[in-house]
Amino acid sequence: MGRLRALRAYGGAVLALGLVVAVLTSATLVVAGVAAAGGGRSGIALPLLVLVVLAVPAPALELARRRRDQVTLARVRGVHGGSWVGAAAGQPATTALTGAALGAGVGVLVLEVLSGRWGTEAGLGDTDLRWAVTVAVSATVLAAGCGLLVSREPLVVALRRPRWQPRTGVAALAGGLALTVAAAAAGYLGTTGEGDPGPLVLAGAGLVAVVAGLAVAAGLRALIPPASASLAGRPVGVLVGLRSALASGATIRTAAVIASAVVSASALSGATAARDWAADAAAIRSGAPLRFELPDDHALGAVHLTERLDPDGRWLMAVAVDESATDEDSDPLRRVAWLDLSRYDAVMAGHLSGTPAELGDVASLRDATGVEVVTGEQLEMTVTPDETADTADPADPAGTEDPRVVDVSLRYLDDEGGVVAVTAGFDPIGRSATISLPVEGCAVSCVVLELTATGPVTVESLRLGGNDLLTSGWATADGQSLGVPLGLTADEAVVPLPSRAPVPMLVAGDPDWPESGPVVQAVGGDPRPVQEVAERDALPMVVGGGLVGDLRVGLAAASASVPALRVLVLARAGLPADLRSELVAAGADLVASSGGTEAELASGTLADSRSRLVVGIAAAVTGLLVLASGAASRLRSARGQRAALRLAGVATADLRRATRVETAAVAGVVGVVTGVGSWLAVVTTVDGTGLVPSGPNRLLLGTAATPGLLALAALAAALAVGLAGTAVAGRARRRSAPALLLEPGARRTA
Amino acid sequence: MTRPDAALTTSSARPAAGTLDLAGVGYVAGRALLTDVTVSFAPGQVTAVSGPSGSGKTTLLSVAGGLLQPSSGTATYDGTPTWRGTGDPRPEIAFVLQVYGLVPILSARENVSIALRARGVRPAEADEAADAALGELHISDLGDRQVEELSGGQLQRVACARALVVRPPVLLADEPTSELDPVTRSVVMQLFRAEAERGAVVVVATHDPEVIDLCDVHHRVDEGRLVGDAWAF
Repeated sequence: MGRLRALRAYGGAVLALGLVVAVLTSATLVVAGVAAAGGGRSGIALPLLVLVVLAVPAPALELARRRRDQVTLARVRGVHGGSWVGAAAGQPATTALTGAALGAGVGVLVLEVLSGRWGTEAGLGDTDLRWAVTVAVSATVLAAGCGLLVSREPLVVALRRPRWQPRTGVAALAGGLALTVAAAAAGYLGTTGEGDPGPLVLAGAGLVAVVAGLAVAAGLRALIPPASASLAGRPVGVLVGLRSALASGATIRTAAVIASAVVSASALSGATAARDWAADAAAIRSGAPLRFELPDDHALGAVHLTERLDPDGRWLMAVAVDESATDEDSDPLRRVAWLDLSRYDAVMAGHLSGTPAELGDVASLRDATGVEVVTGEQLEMTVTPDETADTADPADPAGTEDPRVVDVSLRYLDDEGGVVAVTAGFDPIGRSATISLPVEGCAVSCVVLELTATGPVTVESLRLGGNDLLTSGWATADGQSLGVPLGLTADEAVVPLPSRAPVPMLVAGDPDWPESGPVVQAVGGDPRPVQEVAERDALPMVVGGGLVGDLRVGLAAASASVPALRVLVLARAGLPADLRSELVAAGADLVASSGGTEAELASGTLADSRSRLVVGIAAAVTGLLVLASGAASRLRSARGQRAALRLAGVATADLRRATRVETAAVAGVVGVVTGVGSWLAVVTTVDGTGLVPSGPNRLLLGTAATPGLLALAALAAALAVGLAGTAVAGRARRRSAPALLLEPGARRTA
Repeated sequence: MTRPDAALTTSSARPAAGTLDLAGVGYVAGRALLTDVTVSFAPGQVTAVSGPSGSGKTTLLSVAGGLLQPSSGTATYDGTPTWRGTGDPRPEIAFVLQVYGLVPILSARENVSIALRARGVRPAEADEAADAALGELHISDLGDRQVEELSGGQLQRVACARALVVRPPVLLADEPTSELDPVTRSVVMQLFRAEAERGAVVVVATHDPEVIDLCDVHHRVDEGRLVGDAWAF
C-alpha cells in the first residue's frame, strides 16, 4: 500500500520516467528486429542508447526532487546501507525496469505490426538484442543514480533548505568531457573513415546531439545571469523571463529536448536522403518512366519509329545503350548511352528534373556536333542506272507506277536534328542524268546519314551546296569501303565513312582513357575519338560512371545495325494508350518501369532506412515526453513563482512579458541549436554510416543533410517548446493568486 | 542604518495616515476561519496579533491585506476596500508571509529589488536599495545567492527585506521572526518599529511572547474570533 501511495504521489514523474525508458527500449528492439529481417544493422539504434544519457535523467531528477522529503525522512530515522540505497534508488530503478519491460513488450508488438505492413518476417530469433538490453540496463542505472543524488547533500542542508538544487559534480563534468571527446572521434572517423562504420560512428549522431544539449545547458547557466544583469534596465518581465529558463530542472530538460530533436532530425534526414537517393538513382538509371525494348538493334530504325509514331516529339525518344551500362561494376568506358537529344526536353527532362543527372545545358552537347557538317540549299546528284536492273517494283507488280524509275534517296539530319530524306527519280535507260533538288533544313548545319536506291545505280557525283559528298568516302552497312563512283544496289543503304572528328560526349565518373586519348565505341561499333564536353556527377542511363552522347550525332557515319547496343524507346509518363498500342504493334516490349527500378535500388537500403525512421520517431516521442513531463513540473513551480511575483507587486502585464521572453528565449535556443546540431550530426557522422551502397558507377549521395527537413525539425522543436511554454503560462495564470502561498487551511480560493 | 534615497523617492515612501479597518469580517473555507472580526489597526503603531496555531492569524492578515476576499464584512485601508477582485495586494500593502513567498528563480537581491522595480523604481537604484535592505538584516553577503540555496532563517530575512524596502504604508508580517535568533529578531522588530514611527500600519502575527512585548498593541485571536480587549503597552 505504501508503494501504491508513493506511486500516486509521484505519478507524473514516475509515468514520464517509465515511458521514456519504454520508448527507448522498444525502439531499439524494433530496430534490431527490422535489421534482422531485412539485412540492416541493429547499430542504427545506437543514437538512442546515447540519448539515454539525457532523456532518462530529466524525468529521473524530477522524481528524485519530489522524493527528497521521503528520502530525508529515511535518513533522519537512521536508515543506512542496503535499506538506504533502496529508499533512495529503489523506486527510480524499479520504474526504469518496469518501463524497459513495457518497452520490450511494445517492441515485440510493433515488430509484429510492422512485419505485416512492410512484408518482412521479423522475429526475435535472430535478433541482435544487445543494444536493447544495454538501453534498459543503462536507463535503470542512471535512474537509480539520480535517486541516490538526493542523498549526497548533507542531512542538515536537506532539513534546512526547502528545495533541492542538484549540483554539477566532477563525475558529470568528466562524463560530459568524455562524451565530447567521443563525439569528436566519431566525427573524425565519420568524415575520414572508409569501409564499414564501427559502433562509434553509428552512435555519432547521438553523441553530437547529447553534446549539443549539454553545451546549451552549460551555456544557459553561464550566460543568463550576466545577460539578465546586463538587461537590468529592462522591464521586470525580461529579468523574470530569462531567469525562468534557469528554473530548477529546466536546463537539463531543455538539453534533453534538444538532444532528442537532433537525434530525430538527423535520423529522419538520413532516411529521407536514402529514399531520395534510391528515387534519383532509379530515375537516372531508367531514364524515363517507361522503357520499351525493340526487337532488333537498328538504332536508326528506332529513330524512324519514334518520328513516325510521335512526329511532334512529345512522348517517345530513341536510345541506344551499351549492354555494360546495366552492370554496376563494369568499366565506365563500356557504359555508353546514346540519347536522341532532340527529344530530351519533352521526354526525359521532366523525369530527371531535380536529379544530379539533369542535363540543363543539353543544347551545348547538341551544338557540339563533332561530325562533319554540311550546308546548302540544293542537292545535285549525277546518277547512272544499271542497264541490267530489274526495276519492277515487287509491291507494284501490275506496273501502275513507272517501273523504269529508280529512286535515289539521301537521308540527313536537318538543322533541327530531324531526319529528312530527299529523293530523286532516274530513268533506268543507262544514261547518266543529273538532277538538282531543293534541300530544306540545311542552311546552318546538317549531317548526312545514308544513301539508298530502289535499283542498282552508280552515283557519279553528289554535291550539297558547295560540298562534294563523295570525297569523304562511303561504306556498306557492314563497314566495307566503297570506291568512287559509288555503286548502290537495290534497297541497301550505304553510309559515309566513319568520321574522324571526335564525338562530343558528357562524362561521368573517372574513365581510364587509353594513352592514345579518349575513345568510345560509337553507335556503329567503331572506335571514335571523344570530345569531352563536360564532366558530371551523374548522367542519364549510365548513372555515376559512363558516357552520354547524342544518338543522332552518333548515328552519323555509323553502320546501321550494331548488336553490341541495346536499342530502346523511352516514353514519358502519361503515354497515350493508342500510342502505346502502336508501339507494341511495332514489336516494342515494355521491359521496365521507373518504379520497379526504384524498388530494386531501394531494397539495398530499405532496412536501414526503416530503422532510421523508427529511431527518428522514437527520439521525437522521447523529446515530447520530456517536454510534457517538464511542462507538468514547470506548471507546479510556475504557479508558486507567479504568486510570489504578484505578492511582491509585479503586474500581470509584466508577467505576460516574462512568459513571452522565456518562451522566445528557450524556443529560439532550441530551434537554432537543433538546426545547427542536426546539420553537424549529419555531415560529421550520419554521412559516414554507409547510408547507400557505394561503387564506382553508382550515384553519389553527397550528404544526407536535407536542409528543408532539418529546418522543419528545428522549427518543430522550437514550436513544441514554445507551445509547451505558452500552455504552462496559460494554465499557471488561472490559479496563481498570491493566496496560493498561504497554508492550505487558510485559503478558500487562490 | 539609513535607507537609500531611491526607495524614499517612490510613491509609497510617504505613508498615508490611514487606518486598516476590518468590520464584521467573516471568512469561510469549509469551516469558519474568521467570524465577525472588527478591528482597526492604526498607523504609527506596531500591533501584535497572537493566538494558538490554527486560530486564524494568517487568515486575518490575508483578509486585511486583500489576499483573500472576506465572506462577509469589509476590510478597508484608508476607507478603500483592500480586496481588489484579483487577489493581488494593493501597492500600499506589503507582506511577510510565514512561507516567505519568495521567487525561487531569483537571487536574494533580485527578490528584494523586484518589489521596488514593480513599483517603478529604476533597476539600478532598486538593486542598490535591495543591497542596503539586505545589509540591514545582516545578509548582504547573500545577495547573489539563489533563494533556493538559502536556509529558512535566511529566507525569512530576505522576505522581511523585500517588505521593508518598499516602505509600505501597511506592513503585514506573519510570524516574521519564527526562525530567527534573538539578535536578528530584535533587529527585525527595530526595523518594524521604525516603519511604524514613519507612520505605517504594522501588524505582526506571532505567538512569540517576546515579540508581543515589543509591540504597542496586542490582539488575541482564537477560533477565528478576536477574544478579550486589545492590550496597549
